[in-house]
Amino acid sequence: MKNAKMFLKDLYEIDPSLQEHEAELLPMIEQLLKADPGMAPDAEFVAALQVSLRDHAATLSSGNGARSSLWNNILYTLGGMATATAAFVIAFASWQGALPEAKNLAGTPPAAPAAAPLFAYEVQEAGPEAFGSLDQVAAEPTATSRNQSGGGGGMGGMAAVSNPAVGMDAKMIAPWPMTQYKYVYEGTLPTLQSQVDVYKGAKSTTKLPLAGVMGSFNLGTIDLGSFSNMNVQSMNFYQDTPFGYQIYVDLQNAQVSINAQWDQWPMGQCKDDACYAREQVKIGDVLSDERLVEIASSFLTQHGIDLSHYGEGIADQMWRTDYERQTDKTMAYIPDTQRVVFPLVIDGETVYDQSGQPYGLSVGVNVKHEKVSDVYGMGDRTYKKSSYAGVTDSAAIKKFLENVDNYGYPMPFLREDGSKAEPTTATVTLGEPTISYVTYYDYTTGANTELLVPALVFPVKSIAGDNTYFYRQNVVVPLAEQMFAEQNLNRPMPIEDGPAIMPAVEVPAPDSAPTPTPRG
Amino acid sequence: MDAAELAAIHACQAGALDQFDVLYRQHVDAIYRFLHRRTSVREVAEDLTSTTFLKAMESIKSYDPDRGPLIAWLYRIARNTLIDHARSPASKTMTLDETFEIAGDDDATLKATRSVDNKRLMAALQKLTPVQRDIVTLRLWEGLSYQEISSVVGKSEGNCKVLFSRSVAALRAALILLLLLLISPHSL
Repeated sequence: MKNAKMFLKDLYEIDPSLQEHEAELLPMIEQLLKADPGMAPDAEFVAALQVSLRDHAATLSSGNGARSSLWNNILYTLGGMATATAAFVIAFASWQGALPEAKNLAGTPPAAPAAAPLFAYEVQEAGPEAFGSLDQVAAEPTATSRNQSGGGGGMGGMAAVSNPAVGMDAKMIAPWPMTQYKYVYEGTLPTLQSQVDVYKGAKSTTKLPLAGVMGSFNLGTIDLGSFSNMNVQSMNFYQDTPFGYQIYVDLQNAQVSINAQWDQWPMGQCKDDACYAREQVKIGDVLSDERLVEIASSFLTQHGIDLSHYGEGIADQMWRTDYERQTDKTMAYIPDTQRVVFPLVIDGETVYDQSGQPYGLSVGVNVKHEKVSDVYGMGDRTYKKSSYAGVTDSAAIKKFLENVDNYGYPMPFLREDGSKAEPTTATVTLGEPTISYVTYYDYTTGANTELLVPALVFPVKSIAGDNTYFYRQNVVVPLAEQMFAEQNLNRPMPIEDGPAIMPAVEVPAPDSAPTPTPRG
Repeated sequence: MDAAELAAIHACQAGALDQFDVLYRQHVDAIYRFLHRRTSVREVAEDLTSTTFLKAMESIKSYDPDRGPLIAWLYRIARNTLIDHARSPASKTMTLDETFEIAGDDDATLKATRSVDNKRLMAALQKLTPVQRDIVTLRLWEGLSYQEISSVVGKSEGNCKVLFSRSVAALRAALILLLLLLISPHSL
């Protein structure tokens, strides 16, 4: 039950003068709480929407609604670990040319041959500029100061993601960031090449044909053998044991993910608050980086997960930034699953994401139980490699750095009443950069294709000024000329005339959220 | 964010969209209530809930758990869906300013349970700016923290706190004004 007094206490902390009006405020808040017009959804609607969402998931997963639905329904019918395992063993064995032996399902299933991994790591030469122009490749508006618009939890970056679902009206340009960060690098840059290699993920569809063994799949209710040219699209396995896992193998996108089978984990079995409180992670439970990496590494080794193309594990401690900034530590968020990233290494260089965080195989460690809870980022690493013109102009790079986080809002910002809102400023000093690779995504073909682009990765050394919402650990500058020029040219973002802070209009606009930055 | 939710998010992001079920079941109630509070029309709330979850599924890869709870992200999508709906020419039922006027009119149950005080309160709520009103209702009805509200409305956490306190003060003033008008309509 929501408590009016709790809200009042909360209010008085913000504005103590309101306490004088408690006699009026208390009944008003109580009335507001009672006036809540919210109603629970109809159970029939909830169930119907769930079915629609499953269908939609099937369509999205396959890119071919009909085929996917058929297959998913079949797999759903197959259901259960035993059948799925059988299908996998047969299919895998068939694929390996070992069908006769594999047909004996009652016996011990043949182990997957270690010398023939399901997914490959391979780089194929593709000639110069084989991926077309890079100037249309979308740069995620990196969550620079991750929560300029968000709270201490670092949520602002979320709104900065270029996402049609949370798209903003172009007229509702936000006064963001209110802190202007100036990035400074005073050292020398490493030698830069006039030609750089860009890698593009090659579509790798692994097919596990069931042709020839479909006769084994007459389930009584349906004869699967009657369907021709059947392949396996995905498989889902689970362990029905304490601390068990489920493993999803997506053959279409050549990805494998492991997740905790939560009903087998203590948190998933909680029925009361005491249990949840017991399972909640306290600051004293937090593991050292070394221990997190050790747990993650042991798990990967134990399960034969190939790390030969990944670097040393790095514990992601970003949550600590928020934790340290939280005045009331009891309200601070401590994730119960903390992540260790084994960064992808390509051409001998570490790969980062656009916010400068390592990118690769990501392992979640459940802190309370010191167990791995999930692994993702496993899969096919087949890339095509193509050369592009590189950036060699040091002065242009330094200029680029000055404009990082400059989204072109007029300074000072104009409020709706015409008054000026002066931004605060901060200077970020950058350390010596390394040349690494950064992931970008090419949506131009309608598919989400990964690009690895060489980039300078500058570590943040220090910040002078307001760092309340500053989260960056690294700043990246792409070294492919077309991409560099595009990102550079499109700042500042064009805006329409009028105040940067729009007046309240007939619909509530997300008016100070970071607008997806249309650099492309 | 609980670990089961995080695992489901990661699975969805890795392509296992069947795991979206977990996220849907966990949040459908909150999102529907959020939309129903702002439309008070069951069919509209259902349509918008469907759209919200379809959009969320399609863009789940762009959600970053490190940057805030999933529910705040879903509220944001729901809010934008609501705005899109309010803007659509087909929607005669609601600009958001009108939703509080609509509230109760299309739902017999709600209407029956509303008191005169509620009407006065709703009238006072209408006097707030849309963002102020969002912050008050997200805090009181949805029970969101300021951190979560900041993510939904796109303002800083500090700004949300200040706006909340100012909105409550403005509500109080509006209620006093409405009360005076009720007692003596010609006195002001």
